[in-house]
Amino acid sequence: MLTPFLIAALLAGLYMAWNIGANDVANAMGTSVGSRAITLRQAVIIAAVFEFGGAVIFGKQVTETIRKGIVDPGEIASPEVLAYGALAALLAAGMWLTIATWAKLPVSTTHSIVGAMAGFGIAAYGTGVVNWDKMGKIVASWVVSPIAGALVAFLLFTAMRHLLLKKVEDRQRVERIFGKFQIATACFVAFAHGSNDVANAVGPLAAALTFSQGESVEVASRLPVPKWLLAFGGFGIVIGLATWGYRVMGTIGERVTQITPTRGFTAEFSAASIVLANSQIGMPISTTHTLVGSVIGVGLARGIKALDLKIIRDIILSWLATVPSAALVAAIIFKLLMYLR
Amino acid sequence: MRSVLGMFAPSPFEPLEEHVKLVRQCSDLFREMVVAYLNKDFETSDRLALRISELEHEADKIKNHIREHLPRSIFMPVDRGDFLNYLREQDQVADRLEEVALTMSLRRTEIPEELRDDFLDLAKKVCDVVDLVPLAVRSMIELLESTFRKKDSKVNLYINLLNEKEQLTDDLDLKIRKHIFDIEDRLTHGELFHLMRVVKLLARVADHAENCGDRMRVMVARL
Repeated sequence: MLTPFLIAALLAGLYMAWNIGANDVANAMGTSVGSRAITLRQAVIIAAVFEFGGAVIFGKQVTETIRKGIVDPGEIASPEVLAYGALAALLAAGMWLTIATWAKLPVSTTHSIVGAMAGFGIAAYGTGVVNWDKMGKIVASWVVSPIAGALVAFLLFTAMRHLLLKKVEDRQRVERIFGKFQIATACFVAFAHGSNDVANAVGPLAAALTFSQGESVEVASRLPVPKWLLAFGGFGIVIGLATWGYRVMGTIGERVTQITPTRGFTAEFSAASIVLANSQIGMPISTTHTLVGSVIGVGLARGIKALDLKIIRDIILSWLATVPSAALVAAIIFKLLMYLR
Repeated sequence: MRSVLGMFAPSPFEPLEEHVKLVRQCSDLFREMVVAYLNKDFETSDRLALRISELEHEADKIKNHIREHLPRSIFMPVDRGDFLNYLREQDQVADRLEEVALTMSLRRTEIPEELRDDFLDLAKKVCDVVDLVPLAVRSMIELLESTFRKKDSKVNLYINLLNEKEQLTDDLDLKIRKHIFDIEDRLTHGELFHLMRVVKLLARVADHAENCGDRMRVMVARL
């Protein structure tokens, strides 16, 4: 039954998924395009297939975390309020992303949605309703995941250097072979990204839909996330990639020639492994930040001629700015929705 | 989030190689200039001195470009400070070549017959030292790209050669200056001053080329 509320929720979820596809995916696949391992067109096709696959197959855990891990209302809450809250969070995260992109601020879709969910929870029921234990773990994972990415990439590149690169005579040939491997890592990274980041759109959407079905909170929060919703999110990501991410990646492909296939492979493989592991335990992390960590790891192993570490400042700024801002916007939209209802 | 690929800064090693190519061109022109000067074809030597000066100016522009694009946030396989110290030394080679070329063209001194061979020899040997620098730079860049098979790299070979060949110019420099004093009675004050000055500056070019090798040794030591 399509009520105006459901239509609004689906549109907001689609908008959020579009945002993820437009910005995040370009980052995730950028190193493969940058090293010329795959063409732009191939990147879009790979991303479409594997983002969708990752979202549907492994997207459930993180979606569950965002749906009900951050705001833990208990028995007192009304399902209707929770449904409006999830819609407010979705709208707030999408709006914040648009504002931040316009203002050229570094933002993460993951941080936006986590902040927005917490923001509505606080606005609705006060700080006690936020699952601070879980929030703490999520925020800690934002620090740990780039560091883990750096460590894994550093070790992987160092091992490759000693076991492989130092032994072979024909460097060009090795790079060509790794160019082929990078097609596989591009698939892997798209899959991992789909598994973790589809939740940023689908998590609140699932909450909005299940809580709006008129069941009690206890029943509604036990309803599983429907597969079609994950597929819907995956679809939104693909649309975002095809319409806007295409342009983002195009500029990347032209600008970067520095990253060679051996380096690109190492960074992507390390980042994708960590993202997928986090998806399995239901941790919403930033794919982009993990990849940044991995690239720095390759740089620390002296694999890249020049890296601009200003990006670390951007990441910290993203934590400091995005979470409170998205929370505030969500609180305002939530109050507005409750007033208009 | 700003693009991940925004973190890939432009490599400073390519412009460094552009810079050293200009240094190499300066030394090529300087060889020609010395031959013209010794043949008393002063118009040609003046023209070549000006051309060297232009190339040095171009090299300066590249040097400034590299410095401008290497803020503290840039992380490289070599230490940023070591890299910038090396760059300064490489730029000094061009600066000193320009200085000796312009100093020569200040005065049309006829080089005494008995000094000619040694003078030409010194100029050639100094240029030979300078010409080792681009070879060392190329092998260093290859070392970075080939994931550091340092043992097989030619970097250390060129650095050692720079030390050895510079030593030869030192010996010759001393010999010529002593020779100039031996014949001081036959020289005017102007000639004496000009010759001493030119020989001194010429030897200094090789010193800076050698310093390049030493700075490079420090730079690649961590690899």
